Amino acid sequence: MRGGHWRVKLVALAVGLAFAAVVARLIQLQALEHQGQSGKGVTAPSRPKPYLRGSILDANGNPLVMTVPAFKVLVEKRAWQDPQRALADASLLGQVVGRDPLEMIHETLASPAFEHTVAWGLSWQKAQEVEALRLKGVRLVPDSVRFYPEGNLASQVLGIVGRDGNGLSGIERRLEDVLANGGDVILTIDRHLQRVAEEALDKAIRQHGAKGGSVMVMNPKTGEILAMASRPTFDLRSPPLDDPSSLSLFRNPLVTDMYEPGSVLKLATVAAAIDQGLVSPHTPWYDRGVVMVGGWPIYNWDYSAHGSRTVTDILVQSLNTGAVWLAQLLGPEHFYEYLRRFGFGKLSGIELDGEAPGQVRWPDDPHWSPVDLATNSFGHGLAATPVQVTTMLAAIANDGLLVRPHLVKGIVTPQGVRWTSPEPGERVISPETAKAVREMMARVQPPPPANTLLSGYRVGGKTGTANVVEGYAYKPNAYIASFAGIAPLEDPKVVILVKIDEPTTVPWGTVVAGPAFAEIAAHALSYFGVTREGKLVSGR
Amino acid sequence: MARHHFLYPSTYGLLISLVVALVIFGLLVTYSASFPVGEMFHGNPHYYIVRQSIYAGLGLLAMAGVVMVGYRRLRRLSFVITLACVASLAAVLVPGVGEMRNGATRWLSIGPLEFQPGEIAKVGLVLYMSAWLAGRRNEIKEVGSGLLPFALVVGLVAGLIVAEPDMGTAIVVGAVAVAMFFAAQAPWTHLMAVLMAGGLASFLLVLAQDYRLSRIHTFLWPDRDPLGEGYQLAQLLTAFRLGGLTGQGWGAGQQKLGLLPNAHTDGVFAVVGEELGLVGAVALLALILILAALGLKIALESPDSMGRFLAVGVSSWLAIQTIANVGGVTGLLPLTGVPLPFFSYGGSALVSILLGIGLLLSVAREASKAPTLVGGAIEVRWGGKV
Repeated sequence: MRGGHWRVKLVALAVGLAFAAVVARLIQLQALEHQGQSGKGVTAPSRPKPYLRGSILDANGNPLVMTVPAFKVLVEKRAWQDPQRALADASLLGQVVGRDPLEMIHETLASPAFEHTVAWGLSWQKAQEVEALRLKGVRLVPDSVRFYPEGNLASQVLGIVGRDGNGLSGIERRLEDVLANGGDVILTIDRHLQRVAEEALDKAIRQHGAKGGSVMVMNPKTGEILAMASRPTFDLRSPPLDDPSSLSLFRNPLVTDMYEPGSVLKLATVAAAIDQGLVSPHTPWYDRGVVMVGGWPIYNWDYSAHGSRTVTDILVQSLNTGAVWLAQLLGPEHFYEYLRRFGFGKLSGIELDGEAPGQVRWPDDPHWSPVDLATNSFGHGLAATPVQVTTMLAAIANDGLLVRPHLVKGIVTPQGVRWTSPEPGERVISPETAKAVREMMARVQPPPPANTLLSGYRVGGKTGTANVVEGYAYKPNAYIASFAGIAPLEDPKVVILVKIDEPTTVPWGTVVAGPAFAEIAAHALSYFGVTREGKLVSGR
Repeated sequence: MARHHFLYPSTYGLLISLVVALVIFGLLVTYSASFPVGEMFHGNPHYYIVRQSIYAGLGLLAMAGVVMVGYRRLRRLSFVITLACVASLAAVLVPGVGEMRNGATRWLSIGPLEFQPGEIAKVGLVLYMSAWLAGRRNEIKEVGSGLLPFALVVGLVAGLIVAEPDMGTAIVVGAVAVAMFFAAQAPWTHLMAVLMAGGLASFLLVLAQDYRLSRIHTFLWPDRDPLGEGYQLAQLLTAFRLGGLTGQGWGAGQQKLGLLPNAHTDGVFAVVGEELGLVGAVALLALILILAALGLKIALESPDSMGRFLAVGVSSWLAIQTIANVGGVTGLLPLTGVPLPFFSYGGSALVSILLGIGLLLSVAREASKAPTLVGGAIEVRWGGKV
């Protein structure tokens, strides 16, 4: 029988080796791959999150949103089965966490789980108070909460996170992978300019009783978006997540919403005609006040004839008939080629979800007609996003080179900082053409008294007034007034688009949007250290 | 029985203490792992622990019963017992008799008694196999009297279990039988033939069913589909990683709160890993390993060959089933859904392993009565060949 013994010992050896293998695997899982303390107690269903969510910083590294540790309160369903005790405990708890006791009881008892989260985002002090109540079946679990040091700044750019900590809109959603893994995002947004822009926008909307509006400030040389805001918006600190009718507020209309750009688009028409060598800024032209295209009359905005004019006047006085003349000189092939190069009808590639490409009826479309060419020349009959319009403006400011608009300057991970690499840009028009158009724009200024803010600076712009499209028709007596400007005209630092929706005073871009442009431009230029020429002289 | 100082307890005494410790440890773990699912599906967090405690009590009683009867007397009944096991395994497959749960028919109800014949068959087969192997000494080495009947009996039992379907249990049963066959001096060629046949059958069975194939996929590429095929393994591994060295504390695990499927049954070791950490998980394995090692020591000390084969059978059963479960939930082996002895919720499995331990204890008791040096004489005393 001795022979059987070594076989039994061999079985014992095999068993020992198998157990050793499992122990080695356990050491690997539990000691080497151990998920840190932050994972303790909180695990997402699909993906454990070992890190605190990263921060979103402005261009200078100032935090716009960051994650701070907090606590949430869980209540065991059984503990609140007895109505009297539930009411007593929930009342005490409600006083600390600021919730209606009956609502908490109802939610908890209706929950399919045995435990229900009744409050979250509690500070350490509040958590201590809850702890002190010593309620049965109530426990505190570590949680985290998004904190906004700048308040409700750049709400639609930043976007929101849900209660599970996942990004739901804006940069929070687009860069979820970076943020969820603890990386920080550096935006091109400058918190100072963003605040100035938002305040100017709010002021314009208030003064003109407008329904809303948008503003965008961009560095024309790099495509960096320095400020970006729209109204109406929501409050980042208490997003209306429970109200389905408020969902549209989470969009960024500068990117997602199209509008008829109106006369601002004449910049592209004039630039194209000069770039093709067809006209110069001083080329004379006679305005009869109306032009017939395909049997339809096209009038100027004032239904007047202006007589002998120049190409510069077409832009400065915003003459529709003149724009039609230029577009017809160009012909559909060239006119639409320039529109395409200026970035209309296609996605800009900005780092936000839900971007609209705009709508342009190209000549190869069977429904295209010469009437389209005529109306498109002054920005009607086509749709663009404010980002596209600002990008066009930036190309003129950047001596004819178009750069991709972007919001992300860099991404910070433990591996280091990954900066967005600069692009050379694509040539749309020649530097000479760009300069000529900018000189023409110098004759369009914000109205007094706002223009005094810019004394000593050479700036210029272009106004626009367009109809509001509702369904398939124009909404009666509803306009979009806009001002697109460059500051300063030599060596431009910023391009600014101010767009006010449905002002109730007057529809004119200069009056409604011009002052906001002046305020933002004046702040931006002094912020970037551009000296005022006049001031220097008068100072002596 | 020889008297021992309490500091140097007998193997028998050590075994009893270990088993009691494992049963208590198992109940504590079952409680923690099962209260969320009890609350969710039965509105009662104590639903499972109350039942498991009753099963533990019944199992310990059954264990004591086996020790009192003794394996030598059970030897005469082994054929009948095995016949009953095979009959109940077959009955499960009869439509309307077996009870289907989670897509498999593994339960049989007799009056108020509900059990899994597959679990009970393990102890039945170990008993029968040891009696049979002890009864044929050198015949084992022949194809006609060794390999063939062995393959037939094991193939029949494993085949019936696979048909439920419960491939994991079938593999455990087959592996235990092979270990016993090995200990009984089966020729290497025969062992290789058996292993190859088993491997081929397993391979074909895996190919035949998508869910088996998907477990192999998950095993080979665990990160590929963490929300689909790989969900269970991903959650299991997360539980271990969350546990770290010392764990979150008993009862404080989060994965069992709806994230980890089968937390109280197949996945219970992950709950141990999360709540008691590396320390707790290794302690659990150490307890089982010591028990298995003691079992093999008993095999070496056994006064007769049936006792030796019994001890090898029960020990390897304990070890193989533990490795199958623990290896599966840690991603070392494909997941099979085999319960972790003493820890997974389930009455049949607990009673079955306690019956097996009862057999082991009974061998230990005999071993402590008689000197082991003259094994041959004892063979003769107990009738030698049957």
